[in-house]
Amino acid sequence: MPGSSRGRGSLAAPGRPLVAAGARALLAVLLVVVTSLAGVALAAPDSAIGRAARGLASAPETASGSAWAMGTYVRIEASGPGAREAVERALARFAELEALLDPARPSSDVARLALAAGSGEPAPVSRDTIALLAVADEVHRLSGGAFDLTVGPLVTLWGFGSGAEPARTAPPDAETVAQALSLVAWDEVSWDPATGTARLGLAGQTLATGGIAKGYALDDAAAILRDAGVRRALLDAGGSLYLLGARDDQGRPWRVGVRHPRGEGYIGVLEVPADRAVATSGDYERYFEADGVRYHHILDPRTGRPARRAVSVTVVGPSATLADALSTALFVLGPEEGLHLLEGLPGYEALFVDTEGALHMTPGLEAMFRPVDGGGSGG
Amino acid sequence: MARGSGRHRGLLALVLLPARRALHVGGLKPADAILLVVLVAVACFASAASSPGGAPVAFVVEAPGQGTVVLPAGQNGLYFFSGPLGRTAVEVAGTSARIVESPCPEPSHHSGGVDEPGEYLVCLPNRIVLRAEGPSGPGGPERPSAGSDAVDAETH
Repeated sequence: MPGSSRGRGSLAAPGRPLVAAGARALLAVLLVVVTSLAGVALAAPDSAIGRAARGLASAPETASGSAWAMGTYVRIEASGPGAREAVERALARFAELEALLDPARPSSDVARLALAAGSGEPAPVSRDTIALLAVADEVHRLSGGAFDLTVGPLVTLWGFGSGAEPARTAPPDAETVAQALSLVAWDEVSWDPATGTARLGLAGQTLATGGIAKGYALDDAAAILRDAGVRRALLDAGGSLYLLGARDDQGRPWRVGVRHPRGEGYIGVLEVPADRAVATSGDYERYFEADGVRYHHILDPRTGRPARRAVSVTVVGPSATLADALSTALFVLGPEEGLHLLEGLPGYEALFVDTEGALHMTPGLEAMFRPVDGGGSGG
Repeated sequence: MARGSGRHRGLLALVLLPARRALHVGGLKPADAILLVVLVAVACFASAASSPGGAPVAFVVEAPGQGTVVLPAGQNGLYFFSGPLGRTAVEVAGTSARIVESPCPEPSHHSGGVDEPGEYLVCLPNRIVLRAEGPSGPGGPERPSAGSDAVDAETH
């Protein structure tokens, strides 16, 4: 119809076309409204539509996977080229390292070292075990002996050696603690990267790798993902985390809840920047109670008994291996000595919850910390 | 979720009511009708996608011996799973689920539920995992909550 085509968009068109023009004007207004709405949504960094639209443009591969390894539940979520295959390889790496470091497996490096302990004969071990021993040595030195892998006999004695549940319901007597403590001697451990061997000097010595192995595996898994082209990933090994890349394309920090050591929920939320590990040691994970006293699994290598200077310590830093080991060491040292140690360790921040429930933190961690109502008191 | 649904209806009304009126009063051409359909589709998409957080469409339970069990959201009820230490009960209520009974010592899992895709609870000693999944499955780290105040992970 010539009139219609002529009149389209013309307010001067007479009669019926004028009504149609009104309808079209309404549609035009709607178009503007809806387009604006979509535009705002696209522009808003927080909106799902914005992410969806940007995602359609780049379509990053996303993948997730999980496995039971190292006595815990490991979950990896990743985004970026090759994510699917990389997640599988990263989880497989956890399994490989568990096979090397699990003392309950007779073929593991740790079990073979224990078998040869005191014989004077070095045992061949993997490069991973050598690397792990080197980091453990560094943290032992930094902490003045508060971190010591040779607590193995003590861990077994206190019933935290294997299985998810403590094997004890009462503490061991002082004499047996003293016997096990006599085997806690880091100086008796030696290793040689050139020959790929290691040795425990005292018969009966065993290594407890629980305070460092998960961190080591997280670092390796993160490296696998990064090398594959994954640009963003969240790796969670039973509450020990590695946060690869930033939380989103705007570079905002990840939000990590720190479990309340005595109640439900969180004591606070940490806003953690890209490429950081987060590790926590707490007295609430594995413990038994006797006569109203809690006996937990983090043992002081100097006393042979559960450490009593903190109830929870969270460490944030670039290396998951170091963060994992440091969280144990700092738990044993407590807030005062622990904060002093961290002054000489740039890049690593910590949050302590002491036995009174007071919070102590490094300045760097304070900048990341967002308290939660009822989550603890400053100290 | 309720807030998201309300927005959805509001937007539809915003687009559909004037459009219906326009169809009544003016003879729209096919091209106009197509434009109208496109507008409605865009509005629906914007409304649905701008809902922050989203909601799980299913809950996945990993249990030894039972493999992976999928419980659709809204299939309310108590579900029982067995692990090495005994029975773990999972309750599904709408778009959230929680572990209501388990041989895990407190607080090996916190008593809160999972109500966002990607969230999960682990009963470590009983080797049971309860996980919330969104429409596109487990996906990657870019959860619907990304960008919001939600917590991405928990350290313990």
